[in-house]
Amino acid sequence: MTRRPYVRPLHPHWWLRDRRQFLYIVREGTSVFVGLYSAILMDGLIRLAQGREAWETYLAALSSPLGVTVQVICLAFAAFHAVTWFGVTPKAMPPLLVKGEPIPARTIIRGHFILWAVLSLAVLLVLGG
Amino acid sequence: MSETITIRVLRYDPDKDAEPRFDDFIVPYRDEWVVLDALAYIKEVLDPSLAYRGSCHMAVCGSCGMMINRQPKLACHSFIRDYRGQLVTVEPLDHFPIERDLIVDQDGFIEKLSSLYPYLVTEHDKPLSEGPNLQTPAQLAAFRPFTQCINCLLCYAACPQVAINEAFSGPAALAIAHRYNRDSRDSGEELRSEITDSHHGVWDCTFVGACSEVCPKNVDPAAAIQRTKISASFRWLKARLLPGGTP
Amino acid sequence: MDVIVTDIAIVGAGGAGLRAAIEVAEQNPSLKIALISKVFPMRSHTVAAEGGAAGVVKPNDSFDLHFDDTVSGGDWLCDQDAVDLFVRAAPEELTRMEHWGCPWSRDADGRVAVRAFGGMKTERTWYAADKSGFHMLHTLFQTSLKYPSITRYDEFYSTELLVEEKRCTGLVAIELRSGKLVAFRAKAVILATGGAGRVFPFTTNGAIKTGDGMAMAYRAGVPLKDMEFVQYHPTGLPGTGILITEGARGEGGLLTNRDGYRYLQDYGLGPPDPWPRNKAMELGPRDRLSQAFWHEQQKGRTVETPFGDAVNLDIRHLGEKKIDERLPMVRELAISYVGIDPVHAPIPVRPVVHYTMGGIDTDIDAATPLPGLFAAGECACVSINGANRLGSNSLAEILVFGARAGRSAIAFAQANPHGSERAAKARADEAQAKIRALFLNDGTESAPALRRAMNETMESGVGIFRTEESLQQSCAVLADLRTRFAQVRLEDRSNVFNTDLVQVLELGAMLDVAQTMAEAALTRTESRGSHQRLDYPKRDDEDFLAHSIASYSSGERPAIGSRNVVITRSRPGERIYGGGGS
Repeated sequence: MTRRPYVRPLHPHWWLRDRRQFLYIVREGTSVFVGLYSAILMDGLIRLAQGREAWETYLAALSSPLGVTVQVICLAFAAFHAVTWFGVTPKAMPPLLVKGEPIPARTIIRGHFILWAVLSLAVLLVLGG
Repeated sequence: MSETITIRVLRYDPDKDAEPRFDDFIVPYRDEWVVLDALAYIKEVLDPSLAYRGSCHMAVCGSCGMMINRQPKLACHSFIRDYRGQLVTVEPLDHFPIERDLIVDQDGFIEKLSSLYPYLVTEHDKPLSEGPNLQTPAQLAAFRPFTQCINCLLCYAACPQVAINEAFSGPAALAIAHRYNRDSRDSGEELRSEITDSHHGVWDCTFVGACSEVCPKNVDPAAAIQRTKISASFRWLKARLLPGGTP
Repeated sequence: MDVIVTDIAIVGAGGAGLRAAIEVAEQNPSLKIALISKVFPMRSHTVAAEGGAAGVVKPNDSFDLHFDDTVSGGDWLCDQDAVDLFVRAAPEELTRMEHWGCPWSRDADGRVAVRAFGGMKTERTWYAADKSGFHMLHTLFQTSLKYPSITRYDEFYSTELLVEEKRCTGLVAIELRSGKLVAFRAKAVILATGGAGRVFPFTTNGAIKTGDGMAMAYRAGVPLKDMEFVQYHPTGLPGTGILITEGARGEGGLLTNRDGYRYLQDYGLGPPDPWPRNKAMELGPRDRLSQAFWHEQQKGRTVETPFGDAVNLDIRHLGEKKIDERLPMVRELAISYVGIDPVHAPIPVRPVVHYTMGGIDTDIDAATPLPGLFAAGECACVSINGANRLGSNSLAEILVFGARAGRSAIAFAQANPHGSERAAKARADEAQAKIRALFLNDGTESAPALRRAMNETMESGVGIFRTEESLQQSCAVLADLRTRFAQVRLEDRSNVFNTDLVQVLELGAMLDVAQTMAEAALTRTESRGSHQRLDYPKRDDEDFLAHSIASYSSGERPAIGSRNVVITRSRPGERIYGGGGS
C-alpha cells in the first residue's frame, strides 16, 4: 500500500463548534438586518416621492409596535456589526505613524467609538432640535 | 499512583484504516511538559507507530502545528498544565489532507507560496562591491512583523475560507507577499499583484480575523491581507481611470 | 524502486544546503539540482540560530583581527588557510544575504548593525534581532524558489551514498510519504545535513539533528575529523535546553552565581567592568564559560532549580524597550518555558550541548577525500572552528562553505559523467534489502532503550570534563550498544510516514557518530578548547597540534589517526581573555 491522504469532510455544524467561528457567522448574519433597514429607508424615499398620504402611512407603520420592534432588532444588529468592525479596523488600515511609532490598535478602536458617539449626538441635536 | 493526563490522538494509517479513529493514551502529568513531550512519551513508551512532526521544541521551526482541543496550536508551545484535569484531544491541522496520524500534506501551501514571488524582486542586480542597501530602522519596522512567519500553517487551519475554498492563497502566503511588498528594497509588487489581486488572492478573504488570533508569532496576516486589498483597489482604479492604464 | 537522475544532489536543505543549491543554480542554470531533505527546508535547524553571523564590516576591524580571534578561539586547531579564506569571504556572503532581502537589524543611519559576541575583539556580528538563523533560513528558502533548476525532495530520508569505483555517484533515500526507496544518480553529491547534538541527552539541538550525513559519509569510507570537540553553549534553559542567545551577553547581559557574584572573574576572564568589554567576562569564549560553570557547581555556588543547577543570566538593566527591540525571542522563550520575564528577574541558565566542531573531513574547497562527495556546514569539518567555535562564525560558515561546495560540485559535475546505472541499481537494491530486513526480522532490542543508554553514557563519560576512566567506560558501552543495535526491533511496519523506521535509522547514525566522539576523545590525551581532560589538564602542542581522523571499520571500533594542522602565520600561543586580551 502507499499513501492515501484522507480529507476530512467539513463538520456540518463547523461554525457552532468554535466560539470564534460562531461570532464570525453572527457578524456575517448581521448584514441581513443592516440590509433590511436599508430597504426600509429606501421604501421611505419612495413613499416620500409618492406624496403626503403615502409618507404618513409610512411613518405610521414605522411607529407601530411591529415597526418599532423591527427597528430595535435592526439597531441591535447594526450596533453589533459596528462594534465588531471597529475591533478589526486597526488591521485594515495602513499603520499610522506618530513620531516613528505606530499608533496602538487600542487607540484607533477607541477613536472610532468616540467618533461614533460624537456623530450620534450631532444627529440627535440637529434632528431633535 | 502519580498524576496522569489522558491524551486522545487522532490515528489514521492508510495501510490499515479506511478512515481516522481516536486512540486514548494515559501519560504521566508533568508541569513542565508541552503536548509535544507527551507525544514523544507516547511514541517512546506506549505506541512507537504514532506519527507526528516536531523538531526544535522552541516554537521557531514550525513543524508541530496541530489541533489541540479543537484549537490550532504548536504542540511545543502548549503546556499540558493548561489542560490539567481535562481530556486533551490532539488532531492533525484542520483543512489539510491527513497523510498519517498527525501528519498532514502541506504541498498545497508551498505551491501557493511559490506562486507569489516570495523573494526580493529588484530592477537591477546590485553588485556586491556596492555593499549592503541602506534601510532605516523605520523602513525595517514597516515590514518586520510580516517576516516573523514560521510557516506553521495554524492560520490555514483557523480560516473558514481555506476550508471551503481550496484555491485561496491563504493567510501565511499572502502575509509573506505583503512582507516583500512593504520592503523598501523591493520592486515586485506589480508582479505579485497578478496573484494577490486575483479572485483567489486577497478577495477570497472575508476578514474573519481568525488567522491573526491563532498566529503564535503575532504576524497578523489579516492585516496584511486587508492592506493588500486597499492597494489592490487603488491598482484597479488606476488601471481604469488614468490615461495609459490597461483596464 | 524509483531512480531519479540529476546532475548535483544536495542532502540537507538548511542554510548550507540551500546556499549550495542557489550557488549551483546561479552559476550554471543548465545543471539539474536535487535538493533532498528529511524535513521541509524551513524546519531545518539553522532556524534556531539566534545571535548572528560574523563578518568584518567596521572601519576599525580587519580580516586579520577576525582571523586571530577565530584561530585563538579554536585553540590553534583551526586550519589557518581555511580561516583566512573564511574571514575574507564572510562579509561578501552576508552582503549577498542582504541583497536577497534578509532583514538584518539596522543602525539609525540605515547601515547594517553589528553586535559584540563572545571571543570577538570588536563588534562584527550581523544580526536580525535574536532570530538571525530563522531569518537567514527563510530568506534562503524563499530565494531558492526563484530557480527552476532546483527540484526539492522534501521529507526524503537519505540512508546511504552510492559509491562506484571510489567515486560518489549518488545516494539512496526513502520517500517518507510513500515509504518507497528512491535512488538518486548524480555526478556530484553535497552533504549539508547539520550536526549531531542529539547523541547527548541535554542539547539545544532539535530532534532532527542526528548526524545522518556524518554517518553516511563515514560508512562510505570518508573519515570524520575532530569529533571529540563538542561545544557546550553556556546559556541554555534548565530542563528543556532551549538556547538563550549569546547576543544577550553581547548586549550587556551578566552571569552571576547564587551570591549574585560575577563568578567569571575567578576564571581568568576579569576584570568585571560594569559594561561589556570584548573578549572578557561574559564575552569570553563558550568553552571557558561552560567550564567555569562546572567549577562553580563543584564549589556549590550555583543556583538550585527544579531542573538541576543553574546560574543567573541577568539582562534587567537593559530595560524593557531594548530587550524588546534586540532580544524579543529571549524574553518570549523565558516567559514561556521557565515562567520568568527577564525584564523583571534573571533567567536561570546552564551549559548545554550545542555544536559539533568536528565532522566530515573536507578541504578548503569543501571536497571530501571521496571524489564527487562534498560537504558543508555543521556536518563538515574544514576546519575553521578548531577546538572551540566562536559564536556567530557558524552562520557565516554555512554561507561561505555552502557556496564553495556548490562551485566545487559544479566543476566536478562538468568534468565527470554519471556512474553506471547498473551499479547504482545494484547498490540501491542492497540498501532496499537492508531496510526490508528490518521489517522482517523480529529484533529484540528496543530502540528507545538503546538511545537512552547512548545519551546517558555520552553525558557521563564524554561531557564538559573527561577522564581516561570515563571515556574507557563510554567507549565500551557504545561498542556494546552498536552490537545490540544489530538486533534492533522495528515496531511499526507501515509504509507511509514510518517515523519509527526513521528513528531507528537515526539511532544507527548516532551510535556511529557517538563512537567516533568517544574514541577520539580517549586518544587525545591533552586539554584543548572544548575537549578538557581532568587527567591531562594541559594543552600539548608537541603531540596533539593535529586533527584527529576517525575512520570506519565495519563492526569494529573506529581507527583514530591524525593529520597536522595547517599553520600559515599564527604560531600556537596562550589564549588570553579578560583584561589582558583587549
